[in-house]
Amino acid sequence: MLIDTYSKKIFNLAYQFTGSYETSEDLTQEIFIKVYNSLHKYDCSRNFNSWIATLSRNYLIDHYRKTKLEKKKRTDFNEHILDSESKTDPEENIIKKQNQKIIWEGIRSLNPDVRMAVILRDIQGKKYEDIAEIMSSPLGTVKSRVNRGRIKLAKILKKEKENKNEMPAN
Amino acid sequence: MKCRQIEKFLSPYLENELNQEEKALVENHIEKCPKCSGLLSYMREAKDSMAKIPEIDVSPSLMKRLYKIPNKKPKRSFRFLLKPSLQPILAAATVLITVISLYSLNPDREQINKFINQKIHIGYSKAERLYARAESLTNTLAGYKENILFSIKNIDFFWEKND
Repeated sequence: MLIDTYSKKIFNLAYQFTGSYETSEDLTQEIFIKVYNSLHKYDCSRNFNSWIATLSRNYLIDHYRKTKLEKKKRTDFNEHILDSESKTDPEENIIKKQNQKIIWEGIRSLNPDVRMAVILRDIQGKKYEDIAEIMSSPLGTVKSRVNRGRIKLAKILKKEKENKNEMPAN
Repeated sequence: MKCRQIEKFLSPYLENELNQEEKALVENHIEKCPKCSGLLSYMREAKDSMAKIPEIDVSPSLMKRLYKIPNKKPKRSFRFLLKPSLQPILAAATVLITVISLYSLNPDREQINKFINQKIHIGYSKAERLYARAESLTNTLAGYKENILFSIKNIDFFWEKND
């Protein structure tokens, strides 16, 4: 029941955060073990979805700090995201796919808190209030992190596009 | 307003969260500043691209791994015993257990009992003697009490002449 409801959410959060398919599978398993071991600590007055999301977020950020994920390349974009997308939306244009790839790789340059805020807001489309609860941070801090993340990603997008335009045609 | 100051309004502008005054401020700046205008359009592009990143399905092999987790019995953990707050209690318990085991396993237990009895009696008689001395001291002081009070009453502080 717990696995059916939350495995996809946790796995996608891990995948969007780490950019690595295999690592995300391992992390999803570890997060579920953590969930089972922490169920007795769950405060019933709290929203269960937020509780699981907070636990996952904390686990992913701890893992990031231990392993310094930002140094690793987010290389699994083509293989998984585009394959998955082409099934659901075959008419997606090439420019948007290129942008997505640049953004996917660009997320690597965001620090863990900014990265998590941007993923929860812009990829998962959560409300700022929910993100603040998940991240245990004030609303203003979350909004500021999302803004900083978007500015950084916009600058990366601009730079990459300019570089591509400057490249001589073969 | 400078570009740095405008930057913090860009996301709220994209999400239509600004009031009329702030919105006008951003729009006035963007009209004149191609750098911020470009940044805003790239931010919009980045935001739209991220919104279209799809959720992917969990692989059957991972699902299999996940379903195996609840079958694993959690190991009983005694890690709470390592809490620093419990260390003085554990140390005291260790000392007590050592003393009790030394006593109960000792073959000369009778000797130890005798020794402890002697010590207790010596201590008791010392305490009795002390009490008796304290009582005699109280009696002596009571004897002097009348004299001392009389002397204090009759002290001639101002060298008054008694004619």
